[in-house]
Amino acid sequence: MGSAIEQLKALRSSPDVFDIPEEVLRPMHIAAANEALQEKRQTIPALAKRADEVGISSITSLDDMVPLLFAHTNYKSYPASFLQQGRWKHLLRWLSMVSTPDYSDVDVEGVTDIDDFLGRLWARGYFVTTSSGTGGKLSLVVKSQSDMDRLKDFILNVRELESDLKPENQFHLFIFGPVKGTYTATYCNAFLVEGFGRPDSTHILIEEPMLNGTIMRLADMRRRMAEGTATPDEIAAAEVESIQQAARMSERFAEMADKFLELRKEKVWISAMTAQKWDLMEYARARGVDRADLGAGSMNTGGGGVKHLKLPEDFQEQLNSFFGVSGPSGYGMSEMSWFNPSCRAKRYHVHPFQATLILDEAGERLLPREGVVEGRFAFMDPTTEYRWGGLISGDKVTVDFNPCPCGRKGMTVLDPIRRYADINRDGDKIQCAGTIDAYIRGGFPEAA
Amino acid sequence: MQKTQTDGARLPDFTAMPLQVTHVIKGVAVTGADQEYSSSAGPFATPALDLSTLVWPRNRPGPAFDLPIADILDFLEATGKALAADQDGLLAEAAEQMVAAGPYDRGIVERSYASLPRGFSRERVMSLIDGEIGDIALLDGWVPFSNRMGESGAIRAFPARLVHILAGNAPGVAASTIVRGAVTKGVHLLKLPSNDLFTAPAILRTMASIDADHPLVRSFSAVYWRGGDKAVEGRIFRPQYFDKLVAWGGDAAIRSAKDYIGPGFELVSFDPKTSIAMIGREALDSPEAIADTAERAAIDSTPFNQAACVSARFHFVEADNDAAIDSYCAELQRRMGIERPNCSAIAQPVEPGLREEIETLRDFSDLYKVWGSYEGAGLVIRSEEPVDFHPDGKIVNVVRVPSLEDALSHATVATQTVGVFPAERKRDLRDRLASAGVQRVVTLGGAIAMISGMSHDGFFPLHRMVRWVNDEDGQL
Repeated sequence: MGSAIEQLKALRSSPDVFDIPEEVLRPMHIAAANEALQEKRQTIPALAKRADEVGISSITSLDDMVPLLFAHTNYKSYPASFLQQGRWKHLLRWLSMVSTPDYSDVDVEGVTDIDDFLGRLWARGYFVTTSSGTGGKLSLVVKSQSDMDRLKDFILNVRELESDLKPENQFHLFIFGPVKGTYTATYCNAFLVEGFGRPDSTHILIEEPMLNGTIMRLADMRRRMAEGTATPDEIAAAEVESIQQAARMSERFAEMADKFLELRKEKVWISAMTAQKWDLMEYARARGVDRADLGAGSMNTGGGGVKHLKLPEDFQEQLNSFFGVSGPSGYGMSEMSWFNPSCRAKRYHVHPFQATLILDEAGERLLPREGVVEGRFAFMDPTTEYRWGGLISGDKVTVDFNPCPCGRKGMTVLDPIRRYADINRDGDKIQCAGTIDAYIRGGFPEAA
Repeated sequence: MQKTQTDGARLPDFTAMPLQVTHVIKGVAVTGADQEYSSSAGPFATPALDLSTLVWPRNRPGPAFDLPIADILDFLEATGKALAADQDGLLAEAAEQMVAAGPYDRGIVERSYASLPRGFSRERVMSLIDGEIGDIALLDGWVPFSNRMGESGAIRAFPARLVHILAGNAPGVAASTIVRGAVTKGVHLLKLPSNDLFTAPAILRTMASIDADHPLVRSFSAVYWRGGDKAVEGRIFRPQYFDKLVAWGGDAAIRSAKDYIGPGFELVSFDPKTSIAMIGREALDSPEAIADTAERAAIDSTPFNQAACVSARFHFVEADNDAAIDSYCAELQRRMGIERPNCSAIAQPVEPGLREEIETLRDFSDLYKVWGSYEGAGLVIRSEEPVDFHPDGKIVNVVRVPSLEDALSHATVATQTVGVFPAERKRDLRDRLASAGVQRVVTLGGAIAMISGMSHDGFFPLHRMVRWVNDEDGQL
């Protein structure tokens, strides 16, 4: 008998990992979560503190997990000045408070910027992944080699829930984004290249590494604008830089789009955000191509990022009819060990390594686990190696505890998934109090 | 909403019943639940809007254009008395609805409603006019004008047609808007905010209960529409109907209004502001001094549980030793938990994300020190540089500075009030604070005590709520 966590991980070899009933999973989740608690409270100070505070020393039910979950902002709970002022030792110390390693083997002597800092961590096997998330402050989520390997396994072998697709470098692969960098979407793109891209026909929009420093510099600019120390010339220069960047990008985009139009009737894989897919469709239409007519077995993945775009209401229908296929989609976040892929019934199946917890809006109480339930998405994943796997998301979801129409057992998440922050935004709640943010114009993100 | 298991009979869920908003159109109360809305505080319902009733035709003078100030002072005084007596229970009803809508507890709502009549007193209203307009005759008619070169004519502070986008974080905003609107005599459409749907209608209905046909009563309407609703704003935000948009709260309030600002339709903006305190080392040189300073600072940091723009969020403190500043922080935190006229003992609990961020700061005890907990009684964080979140809900960041000069860089165009202590330090700081964009330098403890007749947000509101019209005798 291995440990409870190892037993949970061993579910990977089940015939269909998304077809395991809750009754089987639940005791495994509880036992593994308890094991993780006992181990990690020794090494994650933030967890020890939380456990002491709420008076939970062992996990014997799903309810016990709830008070121990971290807020989704936990991985950006460091003071922003640590990043802005390059206090790398402090940042390491913060990392050691929210994860198990002590990072004493990471040398931060002479680190020049955030990307250099992250590079030193990655070199030591601490895969600190970043996401800009809400509010513009970078979240820093550390993963181990085994966490990364398991995620790669998911992307290469599991995500295509309804097909027996094997990673055989068989696609003309079009990645409308970067493949080098610490963003989750970026290294997932790298996995695609490794598994599915034809060595002779892999096309990447952004060859340069996706640097966090670029975003940091914008944030720094914003801070100086707030203080009133940025000069008009500097503001102009920053704007010109982003215009030039956009121009370079559209040049490269056109090259790739031409290549796509040339190869589209063969077996292609497009990985792009909705915005790029839209641009690609417009580009094709302008050249008299009204339907992509992709070759048999082609894939079309990626999406999201539509919030600040001015797309028509039926944008998804237009995209579907242009591309003809919409490939695997999923619901996930960088803190997860696997994502939750969608099935042919267009529902997201929660992966078996995490106990998926649907909570009340306040995130304090587990909702009943039967029928169709609406609430806040949270999870406890005992299989992540360096982190406490318990997290409360900002998402409002509807889940169905009944079997899925696709035939699989277990709970599924239904579209649409929305953020509480968007739902509760009350533009009509007018206050006389405000911050400097209202006084800064232009595309300068908030403090990073 | 997800239903939970119940055993036995279930009571109707009263919390889900939308609150009903009463519109007031030119003195007439309009009720009805034709339109439902949601807000962060919950659902509410309003009567249907009849856009034609929301404007006053420009081809006729407004009802109060020629009403003498003396009559206005009488009527406002009577309004103050009627609000205090609240014979028809209008204010009491509004208070109940305010409590139900949140976020303030009954104590704050009742105490701030009890203080509303003060704003209507003759002395206070006259102080406003004295300070902001000067000569009362300018409001009542044409005042002769002449300059050094012998040119002459007459000038009048002519009543204007105004739309007011109200802020809802303090009931005083509605009251002061009505008082300012009354003395400038124009016509006034008040757009209610979702966080105070009740105060303005209750005051206007109280005025109507005194004299339903009074010209001032017929000069005001208060209604709700969803801010930014083109079907409403696109039709009535026009120079043919209104001269100016008077907006509180900046960004959210005026984002859509900006589309309508143009020739003949002007923006008067009470910008969204933040406030700070600056405390000199002499204010902390004895336990008694620390207690006094902390008490003043607590008063300034907690108005409307820190939702008011005057509330100090960052305190820049000169301190040579940890003992003095730490003792200040501890005293401040304790005093922020005291119930005050505009403050609850316990406000909203700190939300979980911010809580984890503050917990992190506790762990860096060499850089940060934290006093207090997360229940909403008040929390103080001491650091060497400002924290990167916006302290709100009774949270203060005490930032140690070598000298108050070093704190000047933290004053910006978004800074409204700077509470300084001891008071003598104001003299050396005020010019540089003003240069940085600050609008108000007060003796610590006086942030909420706004002095009638002085400027607000850098201008004289009455001055901009009229149109200055000339009758000129000039010749070539």
